[in-house]
Amino acid sequence: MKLTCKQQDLAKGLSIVSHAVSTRTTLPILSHILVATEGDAVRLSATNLEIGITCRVPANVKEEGTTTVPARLFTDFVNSLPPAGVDLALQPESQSLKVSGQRSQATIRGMDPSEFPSIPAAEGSETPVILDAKELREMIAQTTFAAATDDARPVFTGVLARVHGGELIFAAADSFRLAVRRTALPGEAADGDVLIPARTLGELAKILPAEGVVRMVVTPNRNQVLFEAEVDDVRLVSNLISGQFPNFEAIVPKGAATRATLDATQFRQAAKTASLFARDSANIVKLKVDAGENDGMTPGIITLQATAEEVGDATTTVDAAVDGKGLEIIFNVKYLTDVLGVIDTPEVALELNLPSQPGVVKPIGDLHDKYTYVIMPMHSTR
Amino acid sequence: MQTIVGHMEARRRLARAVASGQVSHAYLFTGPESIGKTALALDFARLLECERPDLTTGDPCGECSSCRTIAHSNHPDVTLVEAAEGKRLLGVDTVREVAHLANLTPSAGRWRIFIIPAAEAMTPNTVNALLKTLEEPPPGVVLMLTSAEPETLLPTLISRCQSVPLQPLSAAEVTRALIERWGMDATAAHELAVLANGRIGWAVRAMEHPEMREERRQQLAQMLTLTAASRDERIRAAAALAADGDTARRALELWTLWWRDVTLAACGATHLTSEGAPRAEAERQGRALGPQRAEAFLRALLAAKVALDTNANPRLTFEVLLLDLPHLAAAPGRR
Repeated sequence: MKLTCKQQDLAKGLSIVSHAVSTRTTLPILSHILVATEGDAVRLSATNLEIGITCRVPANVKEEGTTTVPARLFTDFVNSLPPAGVDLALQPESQSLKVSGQRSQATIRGMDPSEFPSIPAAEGSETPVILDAKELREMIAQTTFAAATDDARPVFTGVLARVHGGELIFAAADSFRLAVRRTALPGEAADGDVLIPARTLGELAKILPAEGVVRMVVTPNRNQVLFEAEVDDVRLVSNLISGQFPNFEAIVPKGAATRATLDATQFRQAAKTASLFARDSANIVKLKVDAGENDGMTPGIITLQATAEEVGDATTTVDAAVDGKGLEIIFNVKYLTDVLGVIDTPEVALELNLPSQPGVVKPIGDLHDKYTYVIMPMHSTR
Repeated sequence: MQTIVGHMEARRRLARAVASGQVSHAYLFTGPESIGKTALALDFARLLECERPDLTTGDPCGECSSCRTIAHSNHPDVTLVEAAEGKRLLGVDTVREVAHLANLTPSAGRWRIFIIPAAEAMTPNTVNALLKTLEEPPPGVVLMLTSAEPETLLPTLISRCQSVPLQPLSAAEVTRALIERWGMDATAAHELAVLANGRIGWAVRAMEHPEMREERRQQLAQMLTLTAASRDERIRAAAALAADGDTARRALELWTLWWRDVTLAACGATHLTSEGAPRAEAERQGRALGPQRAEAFLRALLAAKVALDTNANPRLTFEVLLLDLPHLAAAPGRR
């Protein structure tokens, strides 16, 4: 292998793939990055036992070749070079890569590249799901936070990705709340479910380009999912969670006895204020929905009340347009602040039935039918 | 690629399980130290992941990418679980990581395999973190545990695994392997096999470290001398042993294997790990003592090991042990 590329490009590529370099591993090859020429570019790949990331860096290739180099050392060295051309030259008999910057040179010993776990490509798989990078990032942000972080119930650490009837649905739950985000798909796509680790999607959101097309494909053996962005040809492949996600549609309440429309910013601020007092008492916040008068003169009001044991309490009111009768319901305030942090429409809707039944938060506007967030209420012991 | 040395019966049994599609979700390989338990687990992992296995002999092809990557411990779906660097025991975090990975689909092959050597080196907390995965792993997950001391494992762990008991190899097997695989000349291989007592792993290490051989030769000689020694000499030997814990522990291991042979010889068994002159000596001692006395001392050795593991006073332990050692006249031709 013999090639020249720009330090900036190489550093950017390395920062992308380094998201998949495992820090602690028993497999020596996984602490390495695969460096391979590919046409007029060099492809960098890294993988841990969970995800693999690969991307292309434009290069002037004089001689083809493949090797692996220790990820940390190679990345740190490239980052220490000034922004100028970088030459990579491989001595195949010793598997060592000579890296030459403007003034520094290094020889880095690698490992046999043939043992690097292969990262599949989208070609030859079933019809890919075509997505927009910006919307995909939003879908990830609006769902992954609702997934469980401990492994006690593995299916809840994943996000269900369901292709059904021309729609892609992301759903995540941790048995106290559920976030569902849908989007219409432009092209044809085969129906099917996969359970993607929430961690994977978190990493994907970090490396997705700002814009452009992203293809999502499930490998033929249905063991892995692949996301492929056109910009820089960034690919992320992830193992899936084995198991069956519960039927989440059954959890979403069908109607609402009380429906309140609130200003999102005010509601977010009120929840934050309440959380200051709630955090010492199991995050309990009491929502009192006051429907107001039907004469149009007295507006509806939602009061958020939180009490910190032996310290004090706080109440905040938010104006609301309320449809239906008033009620009081108790929520975990963290579940409210979480969702209000990922909705960026000016107004949100809060739909309630009974104090013992789940509530629903939805954005108002274009996203209204695309996003649903269900929270289980808490019981008051007081 | 070479298959592992010996353990034909266990390998055939595992190959039959693969051929009939009855692979269990958890295996426990048991047997003395260094006889190839982890090697057998890795061999089984190769057989499971191999693209073109020979299921009649139980041999993986050795050429496909799965076989090669497993041999170099680079297979993404085969994890050898080891204690974190600088730690002697497997940590809860390491085991939680196993539980987490077990819930993911395999990357390359059909199985996700976790090999946990020396399962006794897990604290009860660590075992408990593993139990759920061990009891009901997701489809395609196979856990392989090995242990030289299965009697110290928690019953909840044992009951969840299919047991694969392994025996020490015969001296002939070890000799042949040393000649064929490691290119030793016949005399040296035979000599080493005699010292190895069926532990191929030890033999291979000792091949590179002559001092291990020398230590063992001395320990064996010491045992034989001590059977003819007076009480005074025994007490002095006990003090010397107690002074160097690690060496003494290895001596105990060797003596246990030796007395296993003496006990077997006393019962008239012919499948001994010793060969040649030591074998004749073991048979002579066995005949002289009879099964009961030989077995009694074998048990005393095991008890001494447990005592040392639980922080008993080493000097007292060795004094008691050596005073229990049956007194036998030196063999003809010996001092």
